[in-house]
Amino acid sequence: MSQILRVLGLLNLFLAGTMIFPLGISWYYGEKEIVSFLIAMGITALAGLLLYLPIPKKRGDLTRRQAFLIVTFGWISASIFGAIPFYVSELFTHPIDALFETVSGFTTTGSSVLTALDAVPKGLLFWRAMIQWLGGMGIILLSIAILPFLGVGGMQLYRAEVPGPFLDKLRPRIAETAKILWQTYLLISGLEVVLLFLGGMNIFDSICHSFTTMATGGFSTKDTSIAFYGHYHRIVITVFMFLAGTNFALHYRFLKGGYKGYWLDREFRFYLALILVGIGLVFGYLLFVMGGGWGNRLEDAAFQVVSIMTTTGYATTDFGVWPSFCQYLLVFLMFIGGCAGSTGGGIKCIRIMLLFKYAQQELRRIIHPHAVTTVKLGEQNISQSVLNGILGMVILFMAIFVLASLAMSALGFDIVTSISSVAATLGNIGPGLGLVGPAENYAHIPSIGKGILIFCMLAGRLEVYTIVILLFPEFWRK
Amino acid sequence: MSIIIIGAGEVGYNVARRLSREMQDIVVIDKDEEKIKRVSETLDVHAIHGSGSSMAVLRKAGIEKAEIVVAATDSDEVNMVSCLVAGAQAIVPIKIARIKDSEYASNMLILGEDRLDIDLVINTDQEMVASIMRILETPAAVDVVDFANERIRMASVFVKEGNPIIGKHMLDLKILYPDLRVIIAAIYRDNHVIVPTGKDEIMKGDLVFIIGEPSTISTLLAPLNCYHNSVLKRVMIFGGDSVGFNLAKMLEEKGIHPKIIEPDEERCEFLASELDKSMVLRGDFTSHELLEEENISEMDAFIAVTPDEEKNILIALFAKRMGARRVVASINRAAYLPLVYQIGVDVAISSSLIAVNKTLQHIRRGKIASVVTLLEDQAEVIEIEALETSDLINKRLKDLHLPKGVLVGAIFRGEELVVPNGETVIVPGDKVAMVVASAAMKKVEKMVMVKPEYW
Repeated sequence: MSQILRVLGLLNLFLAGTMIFPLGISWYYGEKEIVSFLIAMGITALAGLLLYLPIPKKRGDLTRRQAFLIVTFGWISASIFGAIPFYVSELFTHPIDALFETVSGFTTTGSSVLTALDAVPKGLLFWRAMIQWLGGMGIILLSIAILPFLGVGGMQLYRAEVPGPFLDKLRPRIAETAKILWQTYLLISGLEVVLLFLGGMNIFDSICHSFTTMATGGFSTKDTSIAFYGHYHRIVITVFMFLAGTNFALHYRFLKGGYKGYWLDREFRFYLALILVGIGLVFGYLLFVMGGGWGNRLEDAAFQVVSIMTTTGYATTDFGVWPSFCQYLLVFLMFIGGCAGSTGGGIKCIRIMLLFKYAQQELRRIIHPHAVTTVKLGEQNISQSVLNGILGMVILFMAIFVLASLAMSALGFDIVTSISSVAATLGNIGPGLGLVGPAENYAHIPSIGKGILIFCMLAGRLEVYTIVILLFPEFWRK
Repeated sequence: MSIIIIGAGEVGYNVARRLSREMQDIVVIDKDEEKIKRVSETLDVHAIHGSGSSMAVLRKAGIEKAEIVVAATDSDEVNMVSCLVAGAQAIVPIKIARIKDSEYASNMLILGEDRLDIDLVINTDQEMVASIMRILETPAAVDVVDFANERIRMASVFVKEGNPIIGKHMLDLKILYPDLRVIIAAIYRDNHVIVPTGKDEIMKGDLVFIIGEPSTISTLLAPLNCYHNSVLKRVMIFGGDSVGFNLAKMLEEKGIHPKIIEPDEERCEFLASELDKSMVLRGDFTSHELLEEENISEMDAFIAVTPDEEKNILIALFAKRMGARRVVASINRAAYLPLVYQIGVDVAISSSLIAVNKTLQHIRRGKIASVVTLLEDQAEVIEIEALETSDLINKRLKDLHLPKGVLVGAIFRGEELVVPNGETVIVPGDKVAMVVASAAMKKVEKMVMVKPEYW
């Protein structure tokens, strides 16, 4: 137990270190939020030191159980300490609002309780974007990459934070893998900053938007989100949202010269196909029912489908006023989400794909009871235990969805709002439909509702198991 | 350094475990999904499920960039084919294969440069026999390891009640035995390895590790020896497989005529025809009458070397109860070692530990060669070359301020072995054997790092 606290202390110190950046921004713009960040840094670092220093280092590797505890509590503590600047600066009057905003940031959800973003100080806007960026590739992963303090323990943590169905290690050592993933992430983010800047966006907004695009987060610095910007920026952001929803291992291999890697990856093909079909359906339907210029319609359809499917959650238009077919389609895409190994949320393409293959296999077994069948992904055989893991995850995901949306409706919300608010937070998308649609926000939801949605966001980001396992009595039994 | 290990059994797993701690890039391949799962869950290495002799799997493991391939499956044939396939696909600088069958292992036509080009063959069975022979020849020792081309020997001995050195400090030993040419390199006490300083005391029940020249090691072993009679005349071997058979042959060469027990009739006939002076007995685990009939209580040594480790432990305990003076059990899992000593087996030899040590000796890390791992790898003996640029040279040992848990055990200067003391000075070109506790390993690596070459 003490070792868990020690690692959590280290994470806190690390978080305090990252607060240097928004502090610098506040200083640059001469905002009084400098004080808020100094206070937050002080508290966070002090808490970290108090946990880290008195506990002696013990030899031995982390167990799986400890890894789950560290990751879950690491995320919770990052959210709590990360919320301090928002609260201290009196941006929010109620602590739960500050916490909601921070959790929404770290989990790359992008659901906001803020209004009038244009009036929010730059330092806070930057911190808001930055926590999304940190949470996108994973705070634990970043600490594994930067602090070489965990060997095997690092891998257990990696698996608890990035729980995809397979362990895709790019390099034999986990610290190297983490480093590579973060470097790739940094590189693509940097590219987006340059492209946005060249299109005329100011440097501050370029960085913030790149942070939240690459993390598939969706926090904007503008009240009107991306609708504030013109065609060029919308297209650039659409492309980078798409990239952020792709497995970063593929990006890395591409950069290393594996040009065919994307096409050889079955999941990527499935992801691409889903997005193209989604865009086609939404575009066709919009044009058919609502008319209007096809260029604009195509742009809106593409932007919105990519934004929702990759679980980013930017908006260029209020899709809450779209025909219900299009809205319903978007809700489906919310559940699917990006690829495994991407920064996107949701159930993930690969799981959906394998579930269908599994169903197909079952059908074949009914026709040929004696047939020996295996589920294959390209050349790769998928073992039964992987499939069972996926089934279990999806069942839990849906169970949380059902229970949480029931609870939301018990708080008095209509069906559309209840369902879409949970879908949008559990899938880490951001805006939902109805009262939480792109033109609305989450500020009006009562505290209990915010609590439920905070849980949904964390459960969704850590792909259910890591967090739900802590609620399982057997986990705590000695 | 990128290392591919084929086979995640006891040997492959432990080699991977040790090397992964040293920040090497390790890829482990195994056919067995369960084993791969164990590896990927407990080690920071890349684990691939598949056959190590498959081109596609080796390519996936990054054979083009691999510097070392270790084939450590249970099958000689798989190991050889894996090395062949690996060599056919890429130029692998070092290939290490575990090969049990002595017929293959000694055949350089097959293993040599023109054919399989295997750099190091680890013949576990042969190593086991050699190790058992060394132990039998060293009274009281529970393990004896040779290194530096068999010029240095390390023996470990339990300090039993009534021993004259109990309660003595390391410094006192010099006074007690002025002609001492050995050093106590480590002490194993309460599941911890202690690398001693002059002030450490020897206590009852300690397992002490002694380093010295093979011929002089007995200068300390003699007083430590609690057996009144250290002659080795009557030996009984249980298990007539390759190890038992080769051991009997070696003993015959030394003029000892062992009794060898084997359950399988056909194998017995083979043994009887191949071994001229040994007595081959047919019998099984359960036949303790046989042991009694054959005067187990008169035996100087009883050695259980069947492939079944649990059986070996049990029968060895049994023999000990019936009066055999020294019992030896062959086991596979190194993790059993401390346990086995505790329940009363005099000597336990782990075949996998031998293979792991042998492999690691060959994988040099810069100027460091690992030689022997002490229990549960809490400490290891390393051999380093003292270079001009190293921090170690031209200072008296006591002025070096070696980190805690580090001890210089022996120094080779040309042909001469120097038993170090505080006044000894290491000069360039020396080969130094050091005992290093695992916590101090990093510091030692830094000390011997070759600075100019490094940049």
